[in-house]
Amino acid sequence: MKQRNNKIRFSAGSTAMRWLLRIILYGWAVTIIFPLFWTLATSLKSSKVFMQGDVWNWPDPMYLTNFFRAWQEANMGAYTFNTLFVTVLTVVLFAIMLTTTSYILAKYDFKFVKFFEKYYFVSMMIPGMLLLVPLFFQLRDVGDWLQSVIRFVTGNPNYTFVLTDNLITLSVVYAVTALPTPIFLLTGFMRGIDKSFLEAARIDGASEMYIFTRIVLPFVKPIVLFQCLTQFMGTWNEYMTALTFLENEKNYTLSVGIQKLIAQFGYQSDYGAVFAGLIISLLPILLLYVVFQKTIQNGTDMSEGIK
Amino acid sequence: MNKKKTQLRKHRPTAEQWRFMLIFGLPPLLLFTFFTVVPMIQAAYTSLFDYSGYGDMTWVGLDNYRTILTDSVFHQAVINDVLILIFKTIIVLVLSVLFAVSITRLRFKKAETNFLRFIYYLPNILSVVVIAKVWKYFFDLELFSVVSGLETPENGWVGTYPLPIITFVASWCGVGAFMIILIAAINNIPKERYEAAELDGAGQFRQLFNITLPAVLPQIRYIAITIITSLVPSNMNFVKLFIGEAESSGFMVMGLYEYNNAFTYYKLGYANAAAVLLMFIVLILSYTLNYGITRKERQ
Repeated sequence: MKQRNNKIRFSAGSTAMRWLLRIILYGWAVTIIFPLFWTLATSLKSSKVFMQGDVWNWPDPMYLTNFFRAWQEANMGAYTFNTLFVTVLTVVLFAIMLTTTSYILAKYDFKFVKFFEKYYFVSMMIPGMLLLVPLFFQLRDVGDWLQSVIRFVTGNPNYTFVLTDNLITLSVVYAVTALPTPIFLLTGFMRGIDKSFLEAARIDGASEMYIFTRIVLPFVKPIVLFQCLTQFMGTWNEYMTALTFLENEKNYTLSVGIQKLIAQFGYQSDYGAVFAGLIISLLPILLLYVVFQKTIQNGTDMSEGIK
Repeated sequence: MNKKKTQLRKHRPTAEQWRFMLIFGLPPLLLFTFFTVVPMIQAAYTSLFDYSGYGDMTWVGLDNYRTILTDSVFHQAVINDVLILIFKTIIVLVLSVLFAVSITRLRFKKAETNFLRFIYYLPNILSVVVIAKVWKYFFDLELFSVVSGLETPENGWVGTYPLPIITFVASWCGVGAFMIILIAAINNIPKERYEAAELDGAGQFRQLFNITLPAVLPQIRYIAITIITSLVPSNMNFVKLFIGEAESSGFMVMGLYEYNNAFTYYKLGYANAAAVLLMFIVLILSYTLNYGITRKERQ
């Protein structure tokens, strides 16, 4: 009897119902896969074929020239390099600031530390994007001031320095403004580390650096890896801030550069090159996702649990 | 006496701890203050001035706020944002609950579940630029007309129906991650509850409404709040990428209203007033929602 109940407990309605649900599930999956495949197919098609109305078929023969043209003529190569630079720098800065600050907030229970903890968490409530306009103008003013200082010091009145149109500034902005929510999450995890571990290490004469890197960090490695991956993908894909900050074309990241690519090729109806550019910009992220799928999905669960 | 001493020592950092805090704790704190708190104060301050972003500032008091609140473009932007918010929340919640319940209750094989999870999460990791451009081409190159068999309207699909299209694409991006959160929550519900319900003869829908949904209420709150806090940037991205300079087509959202006033019309004081208002609107929305759901949870 009990055995039977066990079998029933997962039943999900009638057979017709199950098939209906399955069709809905796979239907939604098609709305996700199809646009991606279509993008890939179009990127491998010569634009002539595409404009003649062959928009659905898989290209035959495949036409790889689109990728070379996007990479070279439209500077996608340079944009990719810029994006990689910004993303890696952002993630490194982010990882250092995130782990150390969380460690201090979680394990140093001094009165003023508690105050700063509140300070970070209250700021979490401010929607970051709303600060984009004020932040840009503030950094522009600081940049103007720095420029006049540099001009005064070097004695060169034509020295130009634009703080905002700078990949390093952009990385610092990304890393710092992303901090509050991840700090909130990681501090929660670090509280879970038994205090006696750290006390024992301190009594044995371990330095703070040693405790932090050898005891605390290994404990929270999976969640930090997840947060860094999220930050990597978020930075790679970020659009509005990069668009606002970067003026000189040689500094463009992929998401800003694609607009340029579309302006260059889209208006000649050269869609092959446009879609090749789109594929170039999403391929690294896709690879990262395939490799770290489990970490990312489990991390998504974890990050919700703490709130 | 001895005890007191150790207690005291506990609450005073050692020299080494001081050094650790100065080297690693202070720089992020200063940068963070400089990048978020200072701009916010500055925005609130310049919102009281007539300021182009360059040159002089003239004190105008609350005039900027008065003008914004009577500007019909701003009204339209608020309405558009709220409509997108409502429809997006409904679509995302219904679909992610439907998918999560189906995947957990249909007893798929592990490989099939993993395959679906892999696919569903994809839109969450892709760049908003790529997503918007692909969908824009899908509509603009009249492929949608071919697929649906409908006639393309005069201004094109995106130009004629910006709101439904942006709502759809924005929801399409969000469902996957939320579904994964809900799957984890549903798997944590004790199986005995379903067994008991089954024995009492409760059908699938009774089980859904009486067991599953109440149990995942915290997750639903998290989803709704995430949607609200990401609403302004997400709408701004999509409108900018789908429609470009939205002024001509008459489709405006709050984030872009602020952005355009600062960078297109050089009215920084005015734009900052809009930013302050926007911040209040978002905060009020998320607090009301949080309060409402917490009350329901307690019942």
